[in-house]
Amino acid sequence: MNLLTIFLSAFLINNVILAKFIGMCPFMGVSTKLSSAIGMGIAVIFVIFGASVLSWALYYYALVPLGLEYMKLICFILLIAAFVQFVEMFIKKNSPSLYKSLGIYLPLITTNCAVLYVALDNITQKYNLIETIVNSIAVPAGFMLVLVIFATIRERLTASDVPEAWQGNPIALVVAAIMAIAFSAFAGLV
Amino acid sequence: MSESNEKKRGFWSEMIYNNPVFGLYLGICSTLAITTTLNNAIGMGVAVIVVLTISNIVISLIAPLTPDEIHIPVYIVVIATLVTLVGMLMQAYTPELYTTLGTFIDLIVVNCIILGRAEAYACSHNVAESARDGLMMGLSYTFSLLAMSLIRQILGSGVIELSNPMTNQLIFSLRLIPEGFEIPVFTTQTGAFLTFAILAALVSAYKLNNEKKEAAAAKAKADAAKEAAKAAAATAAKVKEAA
Amino acid sequence: MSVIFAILIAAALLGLNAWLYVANKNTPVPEGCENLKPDCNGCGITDCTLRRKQEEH
Repeated sequence: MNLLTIFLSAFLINNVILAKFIGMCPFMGVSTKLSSAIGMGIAVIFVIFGASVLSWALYYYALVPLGLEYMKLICFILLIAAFVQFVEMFIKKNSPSLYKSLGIYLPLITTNCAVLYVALDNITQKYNLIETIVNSIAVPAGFMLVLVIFATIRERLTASDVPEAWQGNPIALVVAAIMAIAFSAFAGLV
Repeated sequence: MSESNEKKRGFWSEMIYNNPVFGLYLGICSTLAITTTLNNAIGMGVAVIVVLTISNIVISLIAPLTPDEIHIPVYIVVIATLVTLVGMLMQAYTPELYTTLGTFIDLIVVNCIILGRAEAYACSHNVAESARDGLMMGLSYTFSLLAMSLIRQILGSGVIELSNPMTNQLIFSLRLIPEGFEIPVFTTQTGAFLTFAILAALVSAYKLNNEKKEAAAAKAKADAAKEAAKAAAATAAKVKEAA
Repeated sequence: MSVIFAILIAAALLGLNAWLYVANKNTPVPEGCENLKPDCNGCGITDCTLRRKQEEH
């Protein structure tokens, strides 16, 4: 498959949040401020990229030769948890300034469905290493794009007069619905 | 919300108040994604109930033995093993359902409800309590899925259908909205977000209303107490005068 | 035979997790980052470590 097609499809057309509904938890939680949305977005790109490439390698170099494909779920989730710990430790030691902006979002990512989804998706789509790398960057980049757009809208929402019962998440979901309409227009892109 | 308050509520009220999906916003991903048909919702709901109940039981059993450093990876292994098992069973007995639910069966592993209950409840309660909690949480998750899927399927396709997941035979099918009058947007992503928003707003309205009622009741009680105190003081004064 | 490998792989990954968790916990937080506060309200992930930290305060 064409790499550009994979990228556009994962980035815009099949956007993780608006088309696949994956990664909604951090999406609802962290999108109230632009700065935290950017921090979360970068942390997610970094973790998804690393964890998916590692999972891909583990699957094709250890599980497939041993005939243990059924172990993929257990192995991937453990690998993701370990990778997040490693990244947090590495950043703590080597880059305090980076830790200041990303550090608090890292523990949140282990239970982010998007990480496990990308690792599994690369296997189900039978991507090779290059395609895996492209997909593992495109998916979280699409996540960050929507998160940042959404955060800018939500910052304005706080200043508007919303009925009491709709305040907070319900009105945010209505915004998401409208954004999903906008993003569905990308369907004919490829 | 205090413990005593929780106990006073009835079954449905508790379902609404502690609803993991519309009240706490847990497990939203799968709720939005798979509620296009009633069949999917039931399949997913049953899978989650099974995984959640068994994982709660297992975790409440092994929690005292697990060193604190590795408790999260151990819980994750337990949950991932159960999800793999459930996935394999579904693949064998309900292959159609397994393909339509797709990755969302695997993603039960990272469903916040399950690890959340393990951490917040099962690791500090006994087996029976944990099993009950898992069952209740699973039921109220399934209840939310059913509500979402009923609304979306009826408005989106006008038909309400249920089929046997093993053989794929239609059990019943009922057209509620005549052909040509259905609203297809409800089967799309937009419809999922909108339905969710409306249900979440309803739950929030219900909670606000209840809180107002409780506040009013508390105020009335306080007023009554004040009156009673006044009356008591007055009678005490009278008694004094008489003496 | 493959079952043994399966158990070995799972045990190795668990060990890796435990080791990294302890190593991460023992790594001191860099200066000026002791009291970082996340801006995440509205999320209901009850097992989230950040949430527990917030509730303790």
